[in-house]
Amino acid sequence: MNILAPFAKKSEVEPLTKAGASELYCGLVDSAWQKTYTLVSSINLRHDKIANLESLEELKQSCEIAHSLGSKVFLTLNAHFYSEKQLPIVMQQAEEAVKAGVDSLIIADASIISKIHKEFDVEISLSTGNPVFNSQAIDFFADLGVSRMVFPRHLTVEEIKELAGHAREKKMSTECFVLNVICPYIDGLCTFQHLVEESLGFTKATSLACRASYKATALGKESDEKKRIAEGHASLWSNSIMRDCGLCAIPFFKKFEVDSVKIAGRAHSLEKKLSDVKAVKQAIELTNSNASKERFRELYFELFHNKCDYKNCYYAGVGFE
Amino acid sequence: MNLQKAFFAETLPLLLESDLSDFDRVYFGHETCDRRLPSLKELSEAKELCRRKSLPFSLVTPFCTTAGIKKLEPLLKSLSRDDEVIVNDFGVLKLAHENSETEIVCGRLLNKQYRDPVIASFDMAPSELKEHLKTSQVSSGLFRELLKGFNVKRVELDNLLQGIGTNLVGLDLTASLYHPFTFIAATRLCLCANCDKLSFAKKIGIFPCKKECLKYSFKFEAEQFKNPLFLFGNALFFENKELPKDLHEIGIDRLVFTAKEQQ
Repeated sequence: MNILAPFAKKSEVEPLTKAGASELYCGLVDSAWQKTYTLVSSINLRHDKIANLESLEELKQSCEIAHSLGSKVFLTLNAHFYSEKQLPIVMQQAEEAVKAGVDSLIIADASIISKIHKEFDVEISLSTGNPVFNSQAIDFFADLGVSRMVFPRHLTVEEIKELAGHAREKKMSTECFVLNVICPYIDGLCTFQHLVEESLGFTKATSLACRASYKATALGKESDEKKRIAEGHASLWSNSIMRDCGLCAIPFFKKFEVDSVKIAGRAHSLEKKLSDVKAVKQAIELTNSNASKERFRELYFELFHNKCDYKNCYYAGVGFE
Repeated sequence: MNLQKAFFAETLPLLLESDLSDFDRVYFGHETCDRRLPSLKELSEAKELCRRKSLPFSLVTPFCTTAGIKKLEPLLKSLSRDDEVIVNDFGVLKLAHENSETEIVCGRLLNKQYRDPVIASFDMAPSELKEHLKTSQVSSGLFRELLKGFNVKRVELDNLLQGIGTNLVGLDLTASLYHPFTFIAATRLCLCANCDKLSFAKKIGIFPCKKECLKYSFKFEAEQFKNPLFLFGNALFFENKELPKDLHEIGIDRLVFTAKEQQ
């Protein structure tokens, strides 16, 4: 089982690979794109500068280092959609990335998948920016030229089992997220802006509206007592902290022959990225030794210094049931 | 161009009790939860009501799990050539195209837009970014080509606070606009599911539910949202009561009235 880890600097490639990541993914926003569209309309869904490589040359050198160490590089071109004006820039970045040596392009916009598939000899990996919840959707994307996909975090392990089996029949490789950032809303069906730049005229820099401090008021005709309980439940994401994890589902993913487990967090520090890769590597070792769920809980505690919680669990059907 | 008015009901009781005299079409079904797909019997009653009132019928379908697809298949088969199906999932698009002669409409969840209400306050954004944030995926020729391959002739849009930059005039596509609730995000970690059970007080995940969304909806208020957001079932919306003045000029010939607060 491969570990697919994020990187945002050329200097991160070697330590991450040596720590156990055999696949690495990154983003690249060049200065021209940033000037025109800012990071609000990022070419790759990550709106923060620290989450992106700075130049094509850095991408090329990153690929060279990764390949020399036996790992692969994936480039994200996974905005939910691109406009007519953006398309030539996206196609140019795809072409340059393929020439620079990337092994796979992670794409969300269904309309550009078949164009890239026809024009370039590169693996296309479907981003969670275009989530797949059923086998017909797998067929749809396979027809367009997708040969690898990541499952959305909003699936149960049982649902993943069925879809992974279908993907395998279509000769498609699969990935599951196992660490960091379980979005309260489905990636591909969420249009909240992550980081709002003050320079755009917004009065206050803000982030993650889905996890902001909010007050929920229940509407409807139920009793006040019932409504208070319901309001408590509807407020579960208010002010919630991200310590998100799906490590204890790895034994299931191994059984389902999922090819890679993916770590989110392109913007994290190298220190955090390394500790994540080591934790996932340890979780795979626990899987191979048939360790108990309790050992996975201990691993979670070592990583986040907190106990597992529903709000931080990718796959509650495995973690808590 | 005449402006059609469609009434969108997510439940049969709402449809049966509503005064439809001002409307030209009925939307029935659900956009974001396959547990809320109607039964065949409910679909048949809804269609019968439309037949009696001479109103054209559109079945609204959500993004679907495989379990949802199984429930949806017989519903699709029961539709006639004169009906429409609104699709919000590429798997459903493929299924509807291959198994039904019904007119397929690209629902608003498949036509991506920048919907976060905070965008309306980006006064100092570069002009090209401002223009881009008003657009939608169907403004792209490649996306229109993809839809054409599935014989889609209508797409659906949300009413953005920053304005609508999509213009379909002369492009062999017509558009519908939802009013007054604009979609922001959907989840399967549903905050309505089991919300009134103390035993679920701190539990969040994908669990069986008793469709508590039929009894509760929520208003969310926060310092960083200028206006309240609304949680209807497993999806968040904001309310935008103001309609663009130039609907015909940008190719919109249908308004879809969502009575979500009454479901």
